Amino acid sequence: MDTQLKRGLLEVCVLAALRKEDSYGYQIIKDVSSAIEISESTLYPILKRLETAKLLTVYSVEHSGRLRKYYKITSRGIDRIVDFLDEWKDIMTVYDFINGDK
Amino acid sequence: MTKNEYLKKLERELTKIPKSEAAKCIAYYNEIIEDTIESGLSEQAAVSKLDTPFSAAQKFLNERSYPVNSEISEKPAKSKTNNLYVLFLILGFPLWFPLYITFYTLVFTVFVIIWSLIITFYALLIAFSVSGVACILYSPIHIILNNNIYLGIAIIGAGLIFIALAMIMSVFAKSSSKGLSIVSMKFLKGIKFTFFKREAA
Repeated sequence: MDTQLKRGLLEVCVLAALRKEDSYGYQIIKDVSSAIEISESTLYPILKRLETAKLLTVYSVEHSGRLRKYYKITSRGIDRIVDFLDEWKDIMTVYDFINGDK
Repeated sequence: MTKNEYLKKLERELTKIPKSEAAKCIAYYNEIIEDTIESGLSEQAAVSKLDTPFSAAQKFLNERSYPVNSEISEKPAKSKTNNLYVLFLILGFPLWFPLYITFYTLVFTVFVIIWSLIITFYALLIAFSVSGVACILYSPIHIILNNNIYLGIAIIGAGLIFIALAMIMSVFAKSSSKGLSIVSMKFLKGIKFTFFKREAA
């Protein structure tokens, strides 16, 4: 897959993983891997970028004697998911056309 | 490799960036390893699942400067195309305005031609029926005034021919006005489709 495309998809996948509830690194990787390949070292820069762009916020929670970082999606992050789905509706139409379904 | 060894090596790869940023990255890998161990793996297994400290650091350093996808591609691109569109509209005015006028003049001309044909048919219809009726009404007067029965009968004949022509013309006028109005409607719709289909869709 094109790296630029994958970068964009991964960002939205991470946001989608946070849509239901706040989550932490290990859990996000587990959730997102069902849809797309993601490694620990891929996730970290994405979380950083999404935080810088204010699509998510970070807070720490104590868990079995250590701190665990939780990520929370912002309203801008939700907007990003909605925009993505709108955009890909058009792309799916093109996909169907190329595939010959119509 | 143990967790501490891994994190030490990672720290050594991240000396070029601010310490606070490096510390956050190390804390992230620490948390990931701890969570993996908590899920049931040994420390060794948890560490070996990860990329090497070198490639993990490389990925972070490479991606660090990338903005979020939506930020680079979408919004500036949209306003750029809009600005460009307006710019071309203004700069291209001497080009597109005459073309625009020419196009609508052509459309208008086609309509004028279509409707002048119909008007011609009706004009002929009126001319033939008026002359037919006039000939028939005039012929007895001619016979009485000039005492010329043959010419009078000839005039009646001409009148009947005119009436026949008028009848033919009425058929033409009727069908042509019907047919041509359908054609011009289709023509209008065609223009509408070519120029306004985006707004309609």
